[in-house]
Amino acid sequence: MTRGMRWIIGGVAVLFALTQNTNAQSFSVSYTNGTVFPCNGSTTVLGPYSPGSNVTVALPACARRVNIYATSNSVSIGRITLADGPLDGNLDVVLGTGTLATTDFPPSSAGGSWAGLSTSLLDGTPIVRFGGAISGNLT
Amino acid sequence: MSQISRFDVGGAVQAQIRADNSINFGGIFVVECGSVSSAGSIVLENNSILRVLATGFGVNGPIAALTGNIGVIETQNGGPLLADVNADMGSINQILVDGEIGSTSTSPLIRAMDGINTIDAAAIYATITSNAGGVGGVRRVRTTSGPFVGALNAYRIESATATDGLRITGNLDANVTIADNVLRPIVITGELKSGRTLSIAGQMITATTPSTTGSLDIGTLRGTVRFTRTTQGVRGPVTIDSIASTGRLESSSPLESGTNGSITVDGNMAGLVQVSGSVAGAITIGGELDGRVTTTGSLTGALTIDSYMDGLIKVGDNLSGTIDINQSQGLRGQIIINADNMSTPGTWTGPVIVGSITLDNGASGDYTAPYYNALPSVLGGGSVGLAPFRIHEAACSPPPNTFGRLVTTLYSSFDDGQVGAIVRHYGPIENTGIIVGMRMDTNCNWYEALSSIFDPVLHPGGDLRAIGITCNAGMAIKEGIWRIVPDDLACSEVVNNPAVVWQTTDGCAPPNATPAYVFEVGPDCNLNDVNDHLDIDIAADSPLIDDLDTSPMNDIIDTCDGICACDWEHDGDIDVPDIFAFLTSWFAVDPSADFDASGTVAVPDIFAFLSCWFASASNSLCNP
Repeated sequence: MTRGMRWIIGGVAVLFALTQNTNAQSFSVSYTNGTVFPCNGSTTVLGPYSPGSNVTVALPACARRVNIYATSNSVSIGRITLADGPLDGNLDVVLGTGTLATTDFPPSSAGGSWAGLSTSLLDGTPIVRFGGAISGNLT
Repeated sequence: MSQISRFDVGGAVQAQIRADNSINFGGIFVVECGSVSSAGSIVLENNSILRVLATGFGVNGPIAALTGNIGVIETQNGGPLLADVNADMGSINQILVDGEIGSTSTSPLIRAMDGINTIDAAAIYATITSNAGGVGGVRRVRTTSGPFVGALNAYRIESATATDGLRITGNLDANVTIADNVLRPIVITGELKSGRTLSIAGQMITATTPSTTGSLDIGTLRGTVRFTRTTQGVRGPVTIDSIASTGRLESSSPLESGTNGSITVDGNMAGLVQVSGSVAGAITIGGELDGRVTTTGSLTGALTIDSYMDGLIKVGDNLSGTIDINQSQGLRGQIIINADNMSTPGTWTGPVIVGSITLDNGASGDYTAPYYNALPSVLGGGSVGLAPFRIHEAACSPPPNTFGRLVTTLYSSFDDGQVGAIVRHYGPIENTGIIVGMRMDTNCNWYEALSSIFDPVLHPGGDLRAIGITCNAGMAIKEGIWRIVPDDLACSEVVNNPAVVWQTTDGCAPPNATPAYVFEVGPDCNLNDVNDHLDIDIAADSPLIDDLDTSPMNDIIDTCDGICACDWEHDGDIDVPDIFAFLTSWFAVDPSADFDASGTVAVPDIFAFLSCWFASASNSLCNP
């Protein structure tokens, strides 16, 4: 086998692997509503989104928690913009799964790098509480 | 967002993490990351940051708690802190940096209003303020292996654990301003760099109750340490390995006894130690004193120098304590007492010990203070002067009022610009205001020679305590009695530079007696630098037998009988310069210009001189 052939075969193998990996890697955003009537405590999952995608989520007024999470710690999570949402109360934003930890306890990583969070919530903005972890950079 | 509880970033924080946290929900604000890059930052608008931890490449972006406190900022694995840290409305508990804070090219600001507990780093290049608009102190600012470059402003160095304080393992190249007390040690193992000032406005206290251990320990002092409090500023030990020529240690308060205050320089001291007020405590210099120690009050305590003293010690008022130079002939510099020139003059009642010699007012012989007779050479070349300074009679050359046939000051002593007469004082002098005169008769009439004849020489031979006279080129001092009167001769290194006080007079009866230095110039007609009377009486036999004055026996060396009087320069040559020299004397109405001995200096004297000059060719004395 010539040296050139080895390069071609190797490249194809890498490309295949990357393709398979990309297909498997993504991130999602979910929001969970409150449980006080008229809210019903349901959870809505949005996505999956391809790595690095910027996502805008229009939250319902019942939303009380948002989770941002990826399929693996190597997935880049794009910039998340939260819009609308509740008029008052707390809105917990968790980079990861589960609920917001309010103690000094290491959270589980939600993904690789993250392009950050912005909000354009309704007037009467609730208190947005944030916590979580990523394994990569905050960009 | 409103609030952050805990945010872990495995990599770098390359963006801003910001929360307003307007209503603290009881959570925490913790950011743990690999690093905070220069593009990143962490800002909390309200309440406090609990912890920022960078486990990798340090903190390169700013961290601020705009209204609250900052708990801990920590870097690990050698990570630096290269950006500002602000708690402008609160305090900073700990900044623990495994690497360096700042760098030689980056100097971040670390600022709090209500104090900073601890800053630890390998080295610090930063401006640190713990009392920005407030009264916050610091408990510990420490480098473990490098310098502190920049500045530190703090209200206090607070009393805390024994390992706290300002502790720099290296050089302090920073201005440090402590607005109040220092209750823990300041230790600088290297230098306090030149041009830098460590200023303490409160007290540096070492006491058992409360358990405070304020002290100052510096390797080499090249900058300035300034205690600005006017009472009991130094209440703990100051220990310095050495003070360079640029180094200054200034206390605006007295160094009091019984307050634990002391100043110790283990090695040489080439700079300045200045105490405003009295020194009742101890100042000890383990090496040489090449610099200055000054007080504006009395020295009632002890100033000890273990080696040579080449510098200057100024005691503003009384010396009732002890100055001890533990080196034989170790006083090579100057000690001044009453240097503040007090309206009630300071006195010298305490001992000045130089090796085995003690100068004090109870000593006997040559060592009785303040106007001792011991020559400077006995002490090492230096002197102790009680201001305003008198003449040190024994040290003058010749001693004042030394008369007689065998005086050794001859007119040849002034040849070739030599300083023929030197008046020495107990302390340094300045200005050159003196009047030189020759006694005309025994009725206290003096001819005051003009400046065209004599030049004063300030500090002849580098002696700062002396003034002498030389004859101008072509002029010659004449045999006879002379006096020097101080006219504008002042004490230097003394407040307001008072005039010197000459205790010797010109011998005139009161009230005409004038403070003066009087000396006699003897004859040396054969220009052999030996008084003619010694030449005449070579055998020094008694009764005197004139050996060289036999014919005629007229008290003049025979070879000088009919001496060539027109050799006006006394240089053995009869030449044109003698004419000009004579005319200079004549125009100055110098008594010696009375060439025809008429009693007045007049025109016939010129003709008489010229007759001698023109006849010199036939005069064997003038033309040997």
